[in-house]
Amino acid sequence: MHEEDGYQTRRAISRRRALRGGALGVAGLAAFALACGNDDKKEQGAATTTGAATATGGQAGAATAAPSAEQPKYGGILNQRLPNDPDRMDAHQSTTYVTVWPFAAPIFNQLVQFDPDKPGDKFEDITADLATKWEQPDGQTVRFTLKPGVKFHDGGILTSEDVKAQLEWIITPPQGKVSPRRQALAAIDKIETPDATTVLIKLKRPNPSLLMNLASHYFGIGSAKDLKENGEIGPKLIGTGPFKLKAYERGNFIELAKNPEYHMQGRPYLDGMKFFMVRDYTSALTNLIGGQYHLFYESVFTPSDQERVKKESGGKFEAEAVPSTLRSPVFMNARRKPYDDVRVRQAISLAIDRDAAIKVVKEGFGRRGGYMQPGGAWAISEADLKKFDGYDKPDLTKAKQLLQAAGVTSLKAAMPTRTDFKPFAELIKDQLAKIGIDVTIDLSDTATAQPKLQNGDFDVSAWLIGLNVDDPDATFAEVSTSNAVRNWSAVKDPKIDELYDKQSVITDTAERKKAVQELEKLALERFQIVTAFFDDLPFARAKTVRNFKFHSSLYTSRRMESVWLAG
Amino acid sequence: MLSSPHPRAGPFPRGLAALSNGKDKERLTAVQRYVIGRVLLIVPTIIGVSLIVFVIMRMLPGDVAVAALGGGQGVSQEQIARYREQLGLDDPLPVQYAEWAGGLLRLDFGRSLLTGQSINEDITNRLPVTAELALGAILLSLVIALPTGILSAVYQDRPADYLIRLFSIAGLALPVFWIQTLVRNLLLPKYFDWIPPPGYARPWEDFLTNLEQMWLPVLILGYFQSAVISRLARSTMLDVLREDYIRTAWAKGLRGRAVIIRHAARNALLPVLTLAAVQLGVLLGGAAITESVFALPGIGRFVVDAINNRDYPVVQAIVMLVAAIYVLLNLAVDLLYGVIDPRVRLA
Repeated sequence: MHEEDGYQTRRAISRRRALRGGALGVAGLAAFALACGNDDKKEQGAATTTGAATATGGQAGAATAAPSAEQPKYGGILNQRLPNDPDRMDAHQSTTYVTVWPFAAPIFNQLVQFDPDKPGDKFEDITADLATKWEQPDGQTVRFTLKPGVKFHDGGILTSEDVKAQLEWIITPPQGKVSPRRQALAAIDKIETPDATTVLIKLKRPNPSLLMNLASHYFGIGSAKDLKENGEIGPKLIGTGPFKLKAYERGNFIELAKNPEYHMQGRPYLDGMKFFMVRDYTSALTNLIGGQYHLFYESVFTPSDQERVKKESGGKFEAEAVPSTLRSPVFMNARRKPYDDVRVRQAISLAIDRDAAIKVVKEGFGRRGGYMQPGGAWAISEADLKKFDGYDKPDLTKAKQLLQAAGVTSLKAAMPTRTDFKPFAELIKDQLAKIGIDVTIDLSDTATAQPKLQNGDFDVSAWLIGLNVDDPDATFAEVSTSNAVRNWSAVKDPKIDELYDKQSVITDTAERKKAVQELEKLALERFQIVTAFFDDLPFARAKTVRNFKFHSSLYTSRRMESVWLAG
Repeated sequence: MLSSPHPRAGPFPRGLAALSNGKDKERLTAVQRYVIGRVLLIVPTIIGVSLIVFVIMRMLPGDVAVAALGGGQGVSQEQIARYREQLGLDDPLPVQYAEWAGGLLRLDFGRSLLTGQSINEDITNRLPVTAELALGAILLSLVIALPTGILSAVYQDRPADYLIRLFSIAGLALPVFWIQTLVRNLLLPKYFDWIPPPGYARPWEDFLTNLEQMWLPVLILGYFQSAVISRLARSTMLDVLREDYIRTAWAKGLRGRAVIIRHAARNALLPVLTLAAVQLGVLLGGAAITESVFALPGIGRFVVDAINNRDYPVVQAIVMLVAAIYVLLNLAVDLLYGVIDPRVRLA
């Protein structure tokens, strides 16, 4: 069962070996760093830049070439840890990276993907996957040309009918299935398949966000046959990806094996991947230090823990934190008085010390931001952000004045939230106490806390939101528009809806950015939510892992087709 | 003259022998009646448990549909409502109960609301892991607790007794989670450069790896269980050692070992056996913390996750399973009483 993963060689930690490995690792890292600078060569295909949707891209296979100083090495099993079992096997029905990493990214290909070498996951980083090129003959049509001869794991050949069946499944899932991201494809009017390698997507309106969504691992393409026979891709996981499901023992491990017939010649380098389900963070950290994983992520993987891993592993690991789309906002229920008064929401923003929040809650692994990912393609500048009350420095005097002006003398606030958000909730409670808001925290699990927010049964709530990609449509449709799935504050503004609709159809990136920033500023002015900080995603990587970069999203760059293990 | 309550203090199998003795025919019938009565009692017990767990799970706040949709990230309330409908959570409670109970009668626990997986399959995969841990821990605890409990009583208030009591009280006082975390994640890695291999290997597939993965949780859990059992063994032994028939045994000039083992320990065993069975039931119900710290894919972790996610059928299935295990264990212990102590059988 476990014989092939090679962990036996690592299960006994030898300090001497670790130190020796660390020294070699440093040398390897230097070579890797050198190599990463010039590894932009693509394996095949040439870009076709047509229309606004293809600012770059169109190259089949985004795998990077091996660094010149070090030849890629075949073989080995890449081990990772998951905190729990995937909630389901079909990622189209799931909303967690725990499903995406083992069951979507390595097993399926999308039409397009984010370039694994470019961690920002920006629009211009979109590159080919199953589609060798894509073009927009007009504003409301996108034509994808598929790579010919791509084989599914069951031997079937991928055709445009498979793409059509999968995308239609997402838009209109069969009875008994859920499709949490159907809204991302809402602009699609119909899908046509003039021939086996051409997919024509007809849009109801221009939709520049379409490619951003399609590039995330959530939009893997399964086979039409499988969808027809099983109603979903879940049970069998017949994809076209570089790895196939070999074994899955619930609560124990997931094992993937190399797909020898993968459509990218010479890939993957790895023989397989293995994911171990380890809930307890302390035990997982010990296992990491002991060398049982090659890659590691955990939201509470603090800088001090990262230092500990680097030190106690004898330098076998490097650790970093990557800016992300994950943000920690405070919702304020405008259905209830006095939160319907923008001055009260503004006062709450002024009471929150963002720097302290980042320092206390994230040990420094965070950054200030509004709605779009700070430093990303769309966000307003930091200087502009600081113009909004509270986003520069807290101002308790002004906050109290605003409350007074709103007629609030003393205020008790009920804060239901998730148990795992406790540190953030406690910090907000302390900070709001300084302006006379007495918060009572009600901690519970997701299944209990979230319905309270959805049903408007709260005053304020400290929460965490993660998005697949840093995309304006995804962001504002999540928390800002009147119909946003998480507009739990219920601050509805027709002007916001109008600006949202406007930016959503602008195909020129620069022009759209202006509209997005106008929208972000308006949303910030309304204090729909008060964002305390954006999280940085903390990772660790064994220095033996080559050709892998952590991205700003947990839902991209996890296919591992071009990753190899050195040493 | 005082006499031992054991007319013929013979070996344990005497009780069994009596069951097939023709002269005991009338008593045998009584025993049979007793066994049948106990077995029949299982039915209302299980029905009662099923009703209680079903109602309690529905009374808990929270929504499985939200949990099943990954906390509802990016999911509208309409989608959640539709999903609830698909899961049958909008059906009247009696209908939901009837459907579930019907499945139980067919020994079909149904499917997880969260994952759609067969609960029978999940239990089949996970129960052996917990059973290995629980049985290992209980056996080890008995191996530790019986001699230490007996010795502690025999050498009451002497150095050996103090040492054993210290050993047992430490096991009672220290939090098991703390010790497990400390030993697994600090002491062994730091001072012995050792951590258990990842995952869980089934013993029949890879015995040595299984041994490497299981010895530590079994040892720690066994020690903590032994602390409870050892304390009870000591106290019951002390009581028994003060009985008149033990004094008589000493007065008859019996050898110490015979008095302690054959007369005293045998009688002191009954409550210890009961406690061990209860402890085994508790562990089989899920040593959730141990399974979490050692990343063992057992029943404990499964049920904790299911409770957090309001995965009703999974929680209900495991509670029913544990209830059945308890009932059967208690029945087995009651029957064993008759084997160990003929007085019980005669009564």
